[in-house]
Amino acid sequence: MSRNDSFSDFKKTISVTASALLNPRGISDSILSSHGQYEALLKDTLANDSVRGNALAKFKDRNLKLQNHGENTFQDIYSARNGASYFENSYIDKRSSFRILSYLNDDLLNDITDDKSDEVNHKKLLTDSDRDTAKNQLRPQDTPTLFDGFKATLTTDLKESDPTKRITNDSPQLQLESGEKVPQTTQENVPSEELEPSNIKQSTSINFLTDSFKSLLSTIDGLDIKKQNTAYEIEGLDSKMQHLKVRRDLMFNRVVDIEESQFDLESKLTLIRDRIEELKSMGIQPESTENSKTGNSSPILKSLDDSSTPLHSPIKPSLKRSESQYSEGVSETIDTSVQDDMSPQKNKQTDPLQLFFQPRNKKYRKTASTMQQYYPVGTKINSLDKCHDSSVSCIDFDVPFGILCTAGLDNHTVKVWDATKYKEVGHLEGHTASVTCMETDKDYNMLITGSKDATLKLWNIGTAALDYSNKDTDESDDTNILPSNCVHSFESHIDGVTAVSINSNTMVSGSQDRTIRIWDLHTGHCIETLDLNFSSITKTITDIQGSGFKPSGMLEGYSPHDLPITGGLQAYDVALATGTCDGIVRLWDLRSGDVVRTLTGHKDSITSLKFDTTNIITGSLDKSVKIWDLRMGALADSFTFESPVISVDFDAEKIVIANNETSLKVFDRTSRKHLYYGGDNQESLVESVRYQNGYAVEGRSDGTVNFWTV
Amino acid sequence: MTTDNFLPTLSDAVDPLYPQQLEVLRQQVLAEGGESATTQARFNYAWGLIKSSSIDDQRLGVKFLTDIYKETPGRRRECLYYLTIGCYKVNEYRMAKRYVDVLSSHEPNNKQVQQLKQMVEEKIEHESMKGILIGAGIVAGIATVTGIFFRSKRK
Repeated sequence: MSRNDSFSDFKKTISVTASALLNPRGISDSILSSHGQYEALLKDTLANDSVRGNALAKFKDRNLKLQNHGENTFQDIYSARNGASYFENSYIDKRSSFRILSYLNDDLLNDITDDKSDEVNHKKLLTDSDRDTAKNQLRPQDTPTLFDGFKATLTTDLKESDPTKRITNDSPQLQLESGEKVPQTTQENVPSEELEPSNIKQSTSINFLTDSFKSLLSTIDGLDIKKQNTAYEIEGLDSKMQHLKVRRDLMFNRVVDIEESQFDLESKLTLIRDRIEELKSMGIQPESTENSKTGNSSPILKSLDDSSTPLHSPIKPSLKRSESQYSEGVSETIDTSVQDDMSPQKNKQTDPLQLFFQPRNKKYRKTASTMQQYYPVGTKINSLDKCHDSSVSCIDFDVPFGILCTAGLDNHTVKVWDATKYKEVGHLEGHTASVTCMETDKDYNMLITGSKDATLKLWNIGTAALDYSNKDTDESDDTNILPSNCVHSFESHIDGVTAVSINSNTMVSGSQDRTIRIWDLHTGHCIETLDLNFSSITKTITDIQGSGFKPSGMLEGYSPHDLPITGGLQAYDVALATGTCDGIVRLWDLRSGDVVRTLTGHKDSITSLKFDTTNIITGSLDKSVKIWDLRMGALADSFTFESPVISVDFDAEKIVIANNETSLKVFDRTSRKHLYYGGDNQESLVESVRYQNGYAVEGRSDGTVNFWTV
Repeated sequence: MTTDNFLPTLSDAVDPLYPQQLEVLRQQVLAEGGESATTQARFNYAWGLIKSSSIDDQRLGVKFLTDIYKETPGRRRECLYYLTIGCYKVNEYRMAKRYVDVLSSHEPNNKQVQQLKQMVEEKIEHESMKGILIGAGIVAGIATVTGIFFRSKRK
């Protein structure tokens, strides 16, 4: 036939046509749209965009069908035992499913980068072709191909699982096995386990030995390949980890940035809230000011300041709300007419304490800082050098990265710090002797301090920070005229206060006058007094005074008389726990004012006490920290240090201890491990510590404050 | 001999492994965490699947190779080579051609790649030829039948 003759001419035409038909573009264009079901689904979703729920519901139905078909989940390497079940679904045939699943798009296909690791492979492939005639020798500097690895696996791992040990001649791994055949000894295989040194020594067959030698050689080669491929994998993982580390750092910095702006915005929010309160208290209605509609309150501030006179008399601190650094160029003085406006209200609420406990002085922080979680455990986040000239005697903060208050031993001033920016934001002056204890409150912007001057003071930290920031900008305001941010002074004790604890609306304090007093924070009155007239306490005090007791460290400045009688106390609801200088922990019922339980065990003064729902933890001058079980009323755990324990804080996971040594002691309650942080500076000793949620702050004898994640 | 090459040839992909061996490879992958297993373990299983005689298993092997290709940029050249062989074996010549074209553009000097490319092209040609021959046969058959029909009609 004539057609047969023209076949050779056809050949070229055909291959051209075929290559046109088989053009890669063909697949990429048609891979999804050529399958009716997918197309229909796609169209459905697109067309019903307005009726979104409908399309989604349909999609869900179909998905369900997809998953319910057969017990196996689609595309799961675990459940799919073979290819048939893997590609099976109710939509399309297995071939199409396979083609969709193993489709590589053009970008990915052409993305064969020439980075360093790739270069190795590149060379490798090139040398392979040059090595076609060469013998099987490994180049250690090159990474073997995956196929090498496969062959190696066959020779090492899969030999045993070959069920028949049948010898054929058409595949590489079986050839290797055929090489292991040892006719003389009827052994088909020479597993390395059988090659005991004794066997080798006793063997008289040269063939057996040569074959074993060859077999071992190939096994060693195989292992070498596996080793190199695994090493390559490690390299890959290393670079991935490097990459992830960079990304983590990036994300971490982002969290830091976000939190900072959050805090910034929140402080502005507080300012706005305060200003609104203030304006409202002046009787200005939101409707009467057109400016409020613009959302910008600074014109109001300006108009007020225009009419203001330099005359400035101290007004109630809680009401003295003024502009901060955020509204620059605005003087903080408030004009006299405004004060006149306020005077009627002054008459209504004369008690500054009642004025203080207004919603406006509530903490407005909605975001709790979580940053300490992202530091590795045991990181020193930051350090504030020379906070005080003398030892940091007590310290407290409200939330991690929040407001930190510190007091120095020789200084009567309490300093307020921003623990995010690590700068001083306030000064609290008013005590006439050194501050011995302090506590911040969860709800209000307040700090309560107890001092050797026998008073307790309640401070408004919010106004303190404002006044401090305004101090530099305002020349007319002398620091002496600057109103004290002390809202109230609790004066009933007749000797130095040594311990304080806030208990919602009440406060308990322990003093050297051998009393515990319970105060109502809202009225400022002492509502209950507990006397510590126990013989053991009296005896301890006389003993100390008689023996010329010489305290060390933080207690160095104390005369024997100053050794705190109440080292630590905490109240919750009607329960009170006290740790006293006789080493006894007493649990009180505040309704009756009686001791309901005593816990004995410490051999020396208790310096620190804190309890939660299950435990009381105490630190003592007898160098030990004891954990008491509240329900059993017995000692649960105890450990001893080399120096007297001064300050203890804890939560469910960690106990943080300051014991007058160079390092901060942390006890991990879950792993029961002792950890020491920061013992490098021999000069400074840890004097006081506070801990919350993995975030610890410690004050040292040289005035340094350190921030840790523990 | 195949053992002298570091890359497999098409004939290396022919002999199926024993089911037990394949199962060992599968268990290795699963033991290392399925999708997150090492490249080598997954390749071993994938290659074992490609060597098998079931078309579905071979497809699964190609799918795993595709995954390796996607996740391991350093192994891409190699993977393209294996992918070409895999696709060739599952009769997806269009895919094989696509892969081998990219590979040969990156490896113009590699003899094995060029050989493979040639084989794929020959196969495509051969398949097309088969189609043409069948088509031609049908046409010839119809012509003969009609010829006979007409001849018998003329009589």
